[in-house]
Amino acid sequence: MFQRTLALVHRRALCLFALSVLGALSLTPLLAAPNAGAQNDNAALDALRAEVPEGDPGKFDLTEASEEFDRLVALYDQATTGVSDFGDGSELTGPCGGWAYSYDSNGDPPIDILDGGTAFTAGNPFRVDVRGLVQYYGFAPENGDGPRNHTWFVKTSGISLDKGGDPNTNLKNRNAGIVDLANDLPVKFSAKVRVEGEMMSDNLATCRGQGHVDFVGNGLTDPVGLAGLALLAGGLFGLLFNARPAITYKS
Amino acid sequence: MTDQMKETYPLRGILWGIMFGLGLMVVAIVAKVIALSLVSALAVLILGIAIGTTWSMFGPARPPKSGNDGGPPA
Repeated sequence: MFQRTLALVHRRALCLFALSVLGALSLTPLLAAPNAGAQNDNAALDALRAEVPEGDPGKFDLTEASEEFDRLVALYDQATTGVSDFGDGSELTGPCGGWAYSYDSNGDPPIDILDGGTAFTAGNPFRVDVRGLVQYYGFAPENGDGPRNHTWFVKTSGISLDKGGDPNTNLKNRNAGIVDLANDLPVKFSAKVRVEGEMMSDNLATCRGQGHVDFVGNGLTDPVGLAGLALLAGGLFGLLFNARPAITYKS
Repeated sequence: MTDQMKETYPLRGILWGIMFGLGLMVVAIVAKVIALSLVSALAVLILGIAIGTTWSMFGPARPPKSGNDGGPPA
Protein backbone atom coordinates (compact mmCIF):
# COMPACT_ATOMS: atom_id res chain seq x y z
CA MET A 1 0.00 0.00 0.00
CA PHE A 2 1.40 3.30 -1.06
CA GLN A 3 0.87 5.65 1.83
CA ARG A 4 1.57 9.30 2.16
CA THR A 5 2.66 10.01 5.66
CA LEU A 6 5.31 12.54 6.38
CA ALA A 7 3.68 15.14 4.21
CA LEU A 8 7.18 16.23 3.41
CA VAL A 9 6.78 15.02 -0.07
CA HIS A 10 3.69 16.30 -1.72
CA ARG A 11 3.83 19.44 -3.77
CA ARG A 12 5.95 19.52 -6.84
CA ALA A 13 8.34 17.30 -8.67
CA LEU A 14 11.33 19.31 -7.62
CA CYS A 15 10.24 19.17 -4.03
CA LEU A 16 9.60 15.46 -4.27
CA PHE A 17 12.94 14.81 -5.76
CA ALA A 18 14.93 17.04 -3.46
CA LEU A 19 13.38 15.54 -0.39
CA SER A 20 13.97 12.06 -1.59
CA VAL A 21 17.56 13.06 -1.98
CA LEU A 22 17.59 14.34 1.56
CA GLY A 23 16.07 11.10 2.71
CA ALA A 24 18.70 9.22 0.83
CA LEU A 25 21.43 11.22 2.46
CA SER A 26 20.97 9.16 5.54
CA LEU A 27 21.85 6.11 3.53
CA THR A 28 25.11 7.75 2.68
CA PRO A 29 26.77 6.69 5.89
CA LEU A 30 25.34 3.26 5.36
CA LEU A 31 26.92 2.82 2.00
CA ALA A 32 29.57 5.40 1.77
CA ALA A 33 32.45 4.17 3.81
CA PRO A 34 35.80 4.76 2.15
CA ASN A 35 36.94 1.37 3.43
CA ALA A 36 33.92 -0.40 2.04
CA GLY A 37 36.18 -2.17 -0.38
CA ALA A 38 35.99 -3.17 -3.99
CA GLN A 39 32.91 -4.76 -5.43
CA ASN A 40 34.33 -8.24 -5.78
CA ASP A 41 36.23 -8.69 -2.55
CA ASN A 42 33.65 -7.96 0.09
CA ALA A 43 30.83 -10.43 0.56
CA ALA A 44 28.92 -8.13 2.90
CA LEU A 45 29.03 -5.37 0.35
CA ASP A 46 27.82 -7.76 -2.30
CA ALA A 47 24.95 -8.62 -0.01
CA LEU A 48 24.18 -4.91 0.28
CA ARG A 49 24.05 -4.63 -3.47
CA ALA A 50 21.79 -7.65 -3.66
CA GLU A 51 19.25 -5.75 -1.56
CA VAL A 52 18.66 -3.27 -4.35
CA PRO A 53 15.94 -4.52 -6.67
CA GLU A 54 16.70 -4.60 -10.39
CA GLY A 55 14.33 -4.23 -13.27
CA ASP A 56 10.99 -2.63 -12.48
CA PRO A 57 11.60 -1.03 -9.08
CA GLY A 58 7.99 -1.57 -8.07
CA LYS A 59 6.59 -0.02 -4.93
CA PHE A 60 7.45 -0.57 -1.32
CA ASP A 61 4.83 -0.25 1.36
CA LEU A 62 5.99 1.37 4.56
CA THR A 63 6.56 -1.89 6.39
CA GLU A 64 8.64 -3.31 3.57
CA ALA A 65 10.58 -0.08 3.25
CA SER A 66 11.30 0.04 6.96
CA GLU A 67 12.45 -3.58 6.92
CA GLU A 68 14.62 -2.77 3.92
CA PHE A 69 16.22 0.03 5.88
CA ASP A 70 16.95 -2.28 8.82
CA ARG A 71 18.52 -4.84 6.50
CA LEU A 72 20.68 -2.17 4.91
CA VAL A 73 21.84 -1.00 8.32
CA ALA A 74 22.72 -4.52 9.39
CA LEU A 75 24.53 -5.30 6.16
CA TYR A 76 26.39 -2.03 6.30
CA ASP A 77 27.57 -2.80 9.81
CA GLN A 78 29.04 -6.02 8.47
CA ALA A 79 30.62 -4.31 5.50
CA THR A 80 32.30 -1.46 7.34
CA THR A 81 33.56 -0.61 10.77
CA GLY A 82 34.58 2.52 12.57
CA VAL A 83 33.87 5.04 9.84
CA SER A 84 33.61 8.60 11.05
CA ASP A 85 34.44 10.61 7.96
CA PHE A 86 32.24 10.04 4.94
CA GLY A 87 33.98 12.43 2.65
CA ASP A 88 33.63 15.94 1.37
CA GLY A 89 30.26 17.63 1.20
CA SER A 90 28.05 14.82 2.45
CA GLU A 91 26.25 15.23 5.74
CA LEU A 92 23.04 14.42 7.57
CA THR A 93 22.21 15.40 11.14
CA GLY A 94 19.02 15.00 13.11
CA PRO A 95 16.52 12.23 13.80
CA CYS A 96 15.73 11.51 10.14
CA GLY A 97 16.90 8.90 7.69
CA GLY A 98 15.98 6.63 4.85
CA TRP A 99 17.24 5.27 1.60
CA ALA A 100 16.91 5.94 -2.11
CA TYR A 101 17.60 3.97 -5.25
CA SER A 102 18.04 5.65 -8.59
CA TYR A 103 17.04 3.99 -11.85
CA ASP A 104 17.50 5.05 -15.44
CA SER A 105 14.72 5.05 -18.02
CA ASN A 106 15.08 1.30 -18.52
CA GLY A 107 14.97 0.55 -14.80
CA ASP A 108 17.63 -2.10 -15.02
CA PRO A 109 20.00 -2.02 -13.27
CA PRO A 110 19.78 0.84 -10.75
CA ILE A 111 22.30 3.45 -11.76
CA ASP A 112 23.30 4.46 -8.28
CA ILE A 113 23.40 4.06 -4.58
CA LEU A 114 25.65 1.05 -4.13
CA ASP A 115 29.06 1.63 -5.56
CA GLY A 116 31.38 0.83 -2.68
CA GLY A 117 32.77 4.34 -2.53
CA THR A 118 32.02 7.50 -0.67
CA ALA A 119 28.59 8.67 -1.74
CA PHE A 120 26.91 12.03 -2.11
CA THR A 121 30.23 13.83 -2.12
CA ALA A 122 31.57 16.17 -4.77
CA GLY A 123 33.77 13.38 -6.10
CA ASN A 124 31.08 10.73 -6.00
CA PRO A 125 27.66 12.37 -6.28
CA PHE A 126 24.35 10.53 -6.23
CA ARG A 127 23.57 9.90 -9.90
CA VAL A 128 20.01 10.52 -11.04
CA ASP A 129 18.71 9.99 -14.56
CA VAL A 130 16.44 12.89 -15.55
CA ARG A 131 14.41 10.38 -17.57
CA GLY A 132 14.35 7.78 -14.83
CA LEU A 133 12.95 7.08 -11.38
CA VAL A 134 14.04 7.57 -7.80
CA GLN A 135 12.58 5.16 -5.29
CA TYR A 136 12.78 6.42 -1.73
CA TYR A 137 11.88 5.82 1.86
CA GLY A 138 12.27 8.39 4.64
CA PHE A 139 11.47 8.67 8.32
CA ALA A 140 11.58 11.32 11.05
CA PRO A 141 12.09 9.84 13.55
CA GLU A 142 12.45 6.10 13.04
CA ASN A 143 10.34 5.39 16.14
CA GLY A 144 7.82 7.65 17.82
CA ASP A 145 5.74 10.61 16.83
CA GLY A 146 6.48 12.38 13.60
CA PRO A 147 7.16 16.10 13.24
CA ARG A 148 4.37 18.36 14.45
CA ASN A 149 3.80 21.61 12.60
CA HIS A 150 6.91 21.24 10.50
CA THR A 151 8.48 23.54 7.94
CA TRP A 152 11.20 22.69 5.47
CA PHE A 153 13.24 24.09 2.63
CA VAL A 154 15.59 22.86 -0.05
CA LYS A 155 18.15 25.13 -1.67
CA THR A 156 21.27 25.21 -3.73
CA SER A 157 23.96 27.90 -3.59
CA GLY A 158 21.76 29.84 -1.21
CA ILE A 159 18.92 29.94 -3.74
CA SER A 160 15.67 28.37 -2.62
CA LEU A 161 14.45 25.48 -4.76
CA ASP A 162 11.35 24.83 -2.75
CA LYS A 163 9.92 25.13 0.73
CA GLY A 164 6.81 24.14 2.58
CA GLY A 165 5.35 22.69 5.71
CA ASP A 166 2.41 20.87 7.22
CA PRO A 167 0.69 20.69 10.61
CA ASN A 168 0.92 16.88 10.36
CA THR A 169 -1.73 16.51 13.01
CA ASN A 170 -1.62 12.72 12.74
CA LEU A 171 2.09 12.82 13.64
CA LYS A 172 2.96 10.46 10.84
CA ASN A 173 6.65 9.73 10.79
CA ARG A 174 7.47 8.01 7.50
CA ASN A 175 6.87 7.98 3.79
CA ALA A 176 7.85 5.86 0.81
CA GLY A 177 7.32 6.34 -2.86
CA ILE A 178 8.68 6.82 -6.33
CA VAL A 179 9.56 10.07 -8.05
CA ASP A 180 9.03 9.82 -11.79
CA LEU A 181 11.47 12.36 -13.14
CA ALA A 182 10.61 11.54 -16.74
CA ASN A 183 7.12 12.94 -16.21
CA ASP A 184 7.78 15.47 -13.48
CA LEU A 185 10.77 17.34 -14.91
CA PRO A 186 9.49 19.57 -17.72
CA VAL A 187 12.99 20.30 -19.06
CA LYS A 188 15.71 17.70 -19.28
CA PHE A 189 19.25 18.72 -18.50
CA SER A 190 22.60 17.56 -17.17
CA ALA A 191 24.38 19.13 -14.21
CA LYS A 192 26.16 18.50 -10.96
CA VAL A 193 24.44 20.24 -8.07
CA ARG A 194 25.10 20.65 -4.38
CA VAL A 195 21.78 20.45 -2.55
CA GLU A 196 21.07 21.26 1.05
CA GLY A 197 17.90 21.19 3.09
CA GLU A 198 16.44 21.45 6.52
CA MET A 199 13.28 20.45 8.34
CA MET A 200 12.18 22.06 11.59
CA SER A 201 9.24 21.12 13.79
CA ASP A 202 7.73 21.82 17.18
CA ASN A 203 8.66 18.49 18.70
CA LEU A 204 11.78 17.16 16.97
CA ALA A 205 15.35 18.27 16.64
CA THR A 206 16.15 19.96 13.34
CA CYS A 207 17.00 17.58 10.53
CA ARG A 208 19.66 19.01 8.26
CA GLY A 209 21.34 17.47 5.23
CA GLN A 210 23.54 18.29 2.29
CA GLY A 211 25.04 16.38 -0.57
CA HIS A 212 25.99 16.41 -4.23
CA VAL A 213 23.69 15.14 -6.97
CA ASP A 214 24.65 14.37 -10.57
CA PHE A 215 21.71 14.79 -12.94
CA VAL A 216 22.37 12.47 -15.85
CA GLY A 217 20.82 13.61 -19.10
CA ASN A 218 21.84 13.70 -22.74
CA GLY A 219 24.35 16.49 -22.19
CA LEU A 220 24.59 19.06 -24.94
CA THR A 221 21.83 17.43 -27.00
CA ASP A 222 19.21 18.18 -24.33
CA PRO A 223 17.22 21.42 -24.86
CA VAL A 224 19.24 23.27 -22.23
CA GLY A 225 22.49 22.16 -23.85
CA LEU A 226 21.31 23.20 -27.30
CA ALA A 227 20.29 26.60 -25.95
CA GLY A 228 23.73 26.99 -24.43
CA LEU A 229 25.41 26.08 -27.70
CA ALA A 230 23.23 28.60 -29.57
CA LEU A 231 24.16 31.35 -27.12
CA LEU A 232 27.82 30.44 -27.34
CA ALA A 233 27.79 30.44 -31.14
CA GLY A 234 25.86 33.71 -31.28
CA GLY A 235 28.21 35.41 -28.86
CA LEU A 236 31.25 34.16 -30.73
CA PHE A 237 29.82 35.34 -34.04
CA GLY A 238 29.13 38.78 -32.61
CA LEU A 239 32.58 39.09 -31.12
CA LEU A 240 34.28 38.06 -34.36
CA PHE A 241 32.25 40.17 -36.76
CA ASN A 242 30.78 43.03 -34.77
CA ALA A 243 33.02 43.82 -31.81
CA ARG A 244 36.43 43.49 -33.45
CA PRO A 245 38.50 46.68 -33.66
CA ALA A 246 38.69 48.27 -37.09
CA ILE A 247 41.09 50.51 -38.97
CA THR A 248 39.36 53.63 -40.13
CA TYR A 249 40.43 56.74 -41.96
CA LYS A 250 40.51 60.09 -40.32
CA SER A 251 41.12 63.28 -42.22
CA MET B 1 45.38 64.30 -45.81
CA THR B 2 43.99 61.14 -44.21
CA ASP B 3 45.40 59.04 -41.40
CA GLN B 4 44.58 55.53 -40.40
CA MET B 5 43.43 55.01 -36.87
CA LYS B 6 42.28 52.00 -34.85
CA GLU B 7 38.72 52.25 -33.65
CA THR B 8 37.56 50.01 -30.80
CA TYR B 9 34.08 48.97 -29.65
CA PRO B 10 34.23 48.11 -25.94
CA LEU B 11 30.47 48.37 -25.43
CA ARG B 12 29.87 45.86 -28.22
CA GLY B 13 32.52 43.69 -26.65
CA ILE B 14 30.73 43.74 -23.31
CA LEU B 15 27.33 42.96 -24.83
CA TRP B 16 28.55 40.16 -27.07
CA GLY B 17 30.72 38.99 -24.18
CA ILE B 18 27.63 38.63 -21.99
CA MET B 19 26.02 36.45 -24.63
CA PHE B 20 29.23 34.48 -25.11
CA GLY B 21 29.64 34.13 -21.34
CA LEU B 22 26.08 32.93 -20.86
CA GLY B 23 26.57 30.30 -23.55
CA LEU B 24 29.89 29.28 -22.08
CA MET B 25 28.30 29.03 -18.64
CA VAL B 26 25.44 26.80 -19.79
CA VAL B 27 27.70 24.59 -21.87
CA ALA B 28 30.19 24.23 -19.01
CA ILE B 29 27.42 23.29 -16.57
CA VAL B 30 25.72 20.85 -18.93
CA ALA B 31 29.06 19.30 -19.87
CA LYS B 32 29.77 19.10 -16.11
CA VAL B 33 33.02 20.99 -16.43
CA ILE B 34 31.75 23.06 -13.50
CA ALA B 35 29.09 22.39 -10.89
CA LEU B 36 25.81 24.25 -10.96
CA SER B 37 26.43 26.94 -8.37
CA LEU B 38 26.08 30.68 -8.22
CA VAL B 39 29.79 31.32 -7.73
CA SER B 40 31.06 29.14 -10.56
CA ALA B 41 28.31 30.30 -12.93
CA LEU B 42 29.09 33.95 -12.27
CA ALA B 43 32.80 33.29 -12.64
CA VAL B 44 32.30 31.85 -16.12
CA LEU B 45 29.96 34.69 -17.08
CA ILE B 46 32.53 37.25 -15.98
CA LEU B 47 35.20 35.35 -17.88
CA GLY B 48 33.09 35.63 -21.02
CA ILE B 49 32.61 39.36 -20.52
CA ALA B 50 36.33 39.79 -19.93
CA ILE B 51 37.13 37.88 -23.12
CA GLY B 52 34.65 40.01 -25.08
CA THR B 53 35.96 43.27 -23.71
CA THR B 54 39.60 42.31 -24.22
CA TRP B 55 38.90 41.16 -27.75
CA SER B 56 37.10 44.37 -28.61
CA MET B 57 39.93 46.48 -27.26
CA PHE B 58 43.05 44.55 -28.20
CA GLY B 59 41.97 42.08 -30.88
CA PRO B 60 43.49 42.23 -34.36
CA ALA B 61 41.95 45.14 -36.21
CA ARG B 62 39.93 44.70 -39.40
CA PRO B 63 41.66 46.30 -42.36
CA PRO B 64 39.92 49.31 -43.89
CA LYS B 65 37.43 48.63 -46.59
CA SER B 66 38.53 49.49 -50.07
CA GLY B 67 36.54 50.64 -53.08
CA ASN B 68 33.87 53.22 -53.55
CA ASP B 69 32.07 52.67 -50.30
CA GLY B 70 34.90 52.29 -47.88
CA GLY B 71 38.06 53.85 -49.20
CA PRO B 72 39.78 56.91 -47.86
CA PRO B 73 38.08 60.16 -48.62
CA ALA B 74 39.45 61.96 -51.65
